[in-house]
Amino acid sequence: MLNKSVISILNKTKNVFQFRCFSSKVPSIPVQTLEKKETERIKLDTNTISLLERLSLVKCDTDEGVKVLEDSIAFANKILHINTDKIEPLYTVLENQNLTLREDKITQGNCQADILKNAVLKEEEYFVAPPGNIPLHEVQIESNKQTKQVKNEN
Amino acid sequence: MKYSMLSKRLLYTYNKIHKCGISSHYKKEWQSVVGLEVHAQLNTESKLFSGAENTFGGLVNNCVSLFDAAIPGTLPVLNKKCVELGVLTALALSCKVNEVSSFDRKHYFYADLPAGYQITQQRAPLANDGAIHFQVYTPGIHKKPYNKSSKIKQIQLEQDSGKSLHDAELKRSLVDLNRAGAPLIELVFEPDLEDGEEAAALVKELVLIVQRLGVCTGRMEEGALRVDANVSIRRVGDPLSTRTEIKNIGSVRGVAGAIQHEIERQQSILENGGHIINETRAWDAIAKITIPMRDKEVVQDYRYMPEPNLPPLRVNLNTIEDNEDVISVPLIKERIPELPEESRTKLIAKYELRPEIAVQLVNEPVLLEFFQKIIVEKARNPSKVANLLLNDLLTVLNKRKINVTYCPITVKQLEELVDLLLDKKISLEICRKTINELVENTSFSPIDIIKQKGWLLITDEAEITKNCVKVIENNPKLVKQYKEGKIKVFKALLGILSKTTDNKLDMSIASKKFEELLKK
Amino acid sequence: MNKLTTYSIKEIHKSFRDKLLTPTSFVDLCIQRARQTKELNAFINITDEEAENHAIESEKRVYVEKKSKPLDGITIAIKDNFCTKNIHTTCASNMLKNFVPTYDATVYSRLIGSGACLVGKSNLDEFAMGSGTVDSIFGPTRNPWCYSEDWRISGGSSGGSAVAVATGSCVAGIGSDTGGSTRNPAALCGVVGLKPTYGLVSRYGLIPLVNSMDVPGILTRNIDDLIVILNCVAGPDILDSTTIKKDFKPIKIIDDIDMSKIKIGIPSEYYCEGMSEDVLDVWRSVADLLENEKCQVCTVSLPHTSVSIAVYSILNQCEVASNMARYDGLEYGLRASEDYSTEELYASTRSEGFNNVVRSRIFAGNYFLLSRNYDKYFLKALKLRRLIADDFNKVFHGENSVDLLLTPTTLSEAPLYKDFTSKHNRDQCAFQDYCTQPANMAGIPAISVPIRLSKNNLPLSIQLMGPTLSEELMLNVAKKIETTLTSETLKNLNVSIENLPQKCQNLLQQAAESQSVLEIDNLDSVSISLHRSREISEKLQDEYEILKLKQRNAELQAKIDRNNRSLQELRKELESSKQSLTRQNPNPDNIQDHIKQLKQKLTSYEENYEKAKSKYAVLSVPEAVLPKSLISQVTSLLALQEEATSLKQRADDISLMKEARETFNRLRR
Repeated sequence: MLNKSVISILNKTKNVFQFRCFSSKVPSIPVQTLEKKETERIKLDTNTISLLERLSLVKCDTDEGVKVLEDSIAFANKILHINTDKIEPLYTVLENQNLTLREDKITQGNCQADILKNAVLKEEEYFVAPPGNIPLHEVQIESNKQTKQVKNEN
Repeated sequence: MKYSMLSKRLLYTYNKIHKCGISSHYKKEWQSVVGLEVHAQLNTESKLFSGAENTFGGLVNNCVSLFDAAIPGTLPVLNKKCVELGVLTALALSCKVNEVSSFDRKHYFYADLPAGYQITQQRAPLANDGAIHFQVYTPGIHKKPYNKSSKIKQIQLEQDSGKSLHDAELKRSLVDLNRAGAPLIELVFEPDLEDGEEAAALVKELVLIVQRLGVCTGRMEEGALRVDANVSIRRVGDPLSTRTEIKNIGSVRGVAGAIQHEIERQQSILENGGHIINETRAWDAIAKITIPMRDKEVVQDYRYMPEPNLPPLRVNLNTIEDNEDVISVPLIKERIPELPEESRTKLIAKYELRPEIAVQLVNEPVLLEFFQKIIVEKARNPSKVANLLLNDLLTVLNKRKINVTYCPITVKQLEELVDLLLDKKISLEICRKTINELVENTSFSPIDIIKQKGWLLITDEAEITKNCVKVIENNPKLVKQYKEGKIKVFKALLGILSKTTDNKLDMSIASKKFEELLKK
Repeated sequence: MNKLTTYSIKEIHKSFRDKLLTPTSFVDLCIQRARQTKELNAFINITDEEAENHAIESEKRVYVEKKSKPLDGITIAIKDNFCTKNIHTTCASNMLKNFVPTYDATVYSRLIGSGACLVGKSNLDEFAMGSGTVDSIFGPTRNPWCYSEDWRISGGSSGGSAVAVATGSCVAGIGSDTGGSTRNPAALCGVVGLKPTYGLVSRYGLIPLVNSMDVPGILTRNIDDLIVILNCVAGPDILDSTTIKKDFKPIKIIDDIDMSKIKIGIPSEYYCEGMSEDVLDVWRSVADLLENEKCQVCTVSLPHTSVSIAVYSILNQCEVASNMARYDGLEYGLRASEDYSTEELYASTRSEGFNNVVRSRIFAGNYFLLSRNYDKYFLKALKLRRLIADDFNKVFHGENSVDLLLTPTTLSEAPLYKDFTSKHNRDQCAFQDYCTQPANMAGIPAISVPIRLSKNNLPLSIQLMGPTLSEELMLNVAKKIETTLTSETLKNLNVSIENLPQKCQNLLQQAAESQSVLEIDNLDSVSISLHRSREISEKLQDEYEILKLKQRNAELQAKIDRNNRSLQELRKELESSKQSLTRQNPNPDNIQDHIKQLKQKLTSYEENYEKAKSKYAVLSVPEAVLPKSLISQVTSLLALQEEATSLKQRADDISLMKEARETFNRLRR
């Protein structure tokens, strides 16, 4: 057992002695970033915030949420100044590959149980959603009812 | 050839004059501008990006694949036939097919859109810059058909959404995703139409074209073809003004009615000093009005983003070599059948039909088929045959609310009837009555019915003379007026003659005889 | 301690063939290890039933049908953002906490189809957004190199899989890599992590983060295992339109690879502000190693490296905003109880279901995608993406091109949890993903290889990157680095012994003593069974010897009897001849002759007799000796057997103690 450990130590030191040429190929100073150092902070107006909230539906229109967003925008602003004239956008790295075309055959579906399996609320094989996007005059009637409801609850 | 060119030129100048006549329907200061967007369901076995069945009807949520339900982790795979049908449509409408096109995501939240976005082609669609040429002619509104065309901005493939049934009582929507992911082709037209009738004519033409191409069933009542209309009005010379969008009109007449109503509505608002809001409206076919669909202040931003799961779609524009993933466009061009405009031109050239007759015949594929079959033998007069089909047969069917496609009368019966009419064995009125009878008892032959009801025209000269004499005797005043020079009275006298004889006389013989008698 | 962390697939399969292990016993060991290391929180869900079923199938194939598959009995862990049929797939998020997919991800089905056994679904940052595996609803995952009071992160977002592989709970792990999510935890936990070329491995079933950059990643302990796994999962998939359509040719190790033909580039821009000395040192030493192996090493430039992170953040947030739009609670996932309008239901569901990180990315992404911002941010980012990809193109295919690039993987060793969480997720990702992110931008393959341990006994790794579909070259070079270093990294991993209570420590000490007496190297069930089988074989050997001796004895005895008989006959002859001689009339002439003759005969007979006697003396084995040696041998054998049983008892005690400790810890928590 002693022999084994001695040999392994020797192996290690052999490697160490072999390596230490202190290669100069690895850079010795950190690189300067191309990003802009200081960017002006954008202040977002309330219309934009409420538009975003309606488009995202994630309840981020709190003060903290807005601040995080503004930080993200400032972060993104750091690279807008870099010249990209005459550069085509790279939408996908597979841009030189042709889109696969599938034969027109029925190969999927017919799995109603699988489709409905993970739904929390169902009604006789339908998914259930609250009402939405209905003509305005109906919505007005609805909102009257709603306000009545809310008032009652209060 | 020369004749057809001449007639075309004549038609053109005629149209120009005629159009001005139509526009004067509205006040000269207002000009209405209409642009259409048409969504047509592609007639394929499976859906656009999944292998689920593409069908109308079917067990709820059963023709749905995991991808259609937007189950996480699933990916789209494009259906080759959809590309072929898209290219076919684009070529038939003289569009420029793009060698490379790509797909985008259009984001909005809606219960029947499980992924929260629709895959469409906004940035680089399948085809651009085409045109549809058609005839505008609505019997009762236009005296004669006129040429119209509408430029096509782009043609793109996109997904259909699911269906949500609104349950107002329980305040909820029930969502069925059978239609989610079904393949649609969207045709975006430039706003170069002027009124509802032009729009309706465009839609009708489009339906005929897609039916002939086999691209779509064209059954608007099933939702296979849906029309959105963008309507605005402006003063002549002004730039385009705010428009409203009427969504999902489900019938040809609905298109005319909705646009018409909207133009009038906008006009009255503007004349009263108000202004038009850019909004989306729906067509209430029962109340025959347009009603607003979404909240007034809503600003929508679809945040189009390229679909990262689909590399670019390439087609071969040059050779007829068909590859697994790159279809040959020239090969598809060879598949284009005769289109309606060509059929109309042929009818006019070959049979010397009036343009409006040609338009109406081509509009009813079943009648066109009857026409072509009847015309083939025995050198029957084309105009008369066409008239019979369009005026008489169609009227009877419409009165009885029978769809032309399900016409119970056979070609043979019609041929018989035509011959009887053209041989002057019966009158036009009798012809119509016979058709009515035939519709109820399809097993009889026309001649049997006519003979049974004693409807044959009387051609016996003696009989005719007898009746003429009777009329002359009973109407001395009119005879005197005629003899004094009022030739127009002749028509009245003939009218009395036909009435008293229950229209059973051969009027051409009768009028001759009558003239002879009156000369005495 | 760690046979489980050093056995490769080849060795495991060999021990199956030699019947030292069976698929079911091996899978059991892995499951046991997974349970033992619960404190590290690598697994969200340990699927022991599935594992057992898979193992039984493997066993059937290996032993009964004799038609084994390449991954029979090999345990795997799958990151919990890959769909597995009928097994919960949560993405570590409340949104999908109760989501049970009805289909398998292609990667998973290919692995199981090759005979693999699923140990469990591993932990990740919620929806793979993060680089620490700290933002999970199931709690953070701890680094097995430092997991006590002041513990360090495992890296992310595939931290669970990396830890599972490092601790020996499984042979291979599947993760996903969007900005470094497989390579980062691989580097911090000291295992090998591969990001394949975009499109080489199917993404069908991988719940996406950034569709245009995601790839499934592979984590193993050594390069050979990695190659086996890659060969099982790579190749086109008709269900994923973004897989490369070319047929996949399996990768193999080239035995005598000519390193002098390989050019390695070192991009100067990869040394960024904040990189630790340790990492730089490892970078240099590997560069030197390669030069010593005769590779051509040179400096290259990838000028747009530093913008990659900002570009990534824009594209990432935009795709997230889009990909997360489907989570509304209608078809699957969490559903809030609000029901008076769709908007309210969606907003509540999505706010309850997503954590801060996810929500803020959606919010920001939608900002960048607004029509008014699209050109300014999204399109701009895509153009910069092309510049980054072109940088790689020039370096790999232009003038003075190189074959591979050598860079660090992370900027430092595994950070302390408390330091890591002091920064916001976005800034943290920006810092940690600096070296790994550009490969995703360009879709090129990259691998993280562990090199050595730092001063703090934490793993340090380097990264190799190559042009598209260059996995074979890259893996061969990585293998070369691995064999040259004989990396001791994982062998030094010591999970869970020190923190046991005193009694256990004493028992362990005693066990260790007997261990040294009996000359057993490592105290684990594998070694013990090995030792036991060795004893059995020794016993059999002894018995065989005894039997041989007995047989010899019998033969000798027979010989003795024969000789005795012949002696008897000789004596009889002598007697009879003597008698005949006395009866004979003595002839005075020839009496002397006759006497001489007789004397001669007698002497010869006597000689013979002496010879026979001596032979007899030589031949006869003293009976007294034989039984005694046998007896002593038997007694010593009995003593050994007793010792063996006592050892086994001790081993059982130790495992009992371990379990007691575990429950104690669990109760403590």
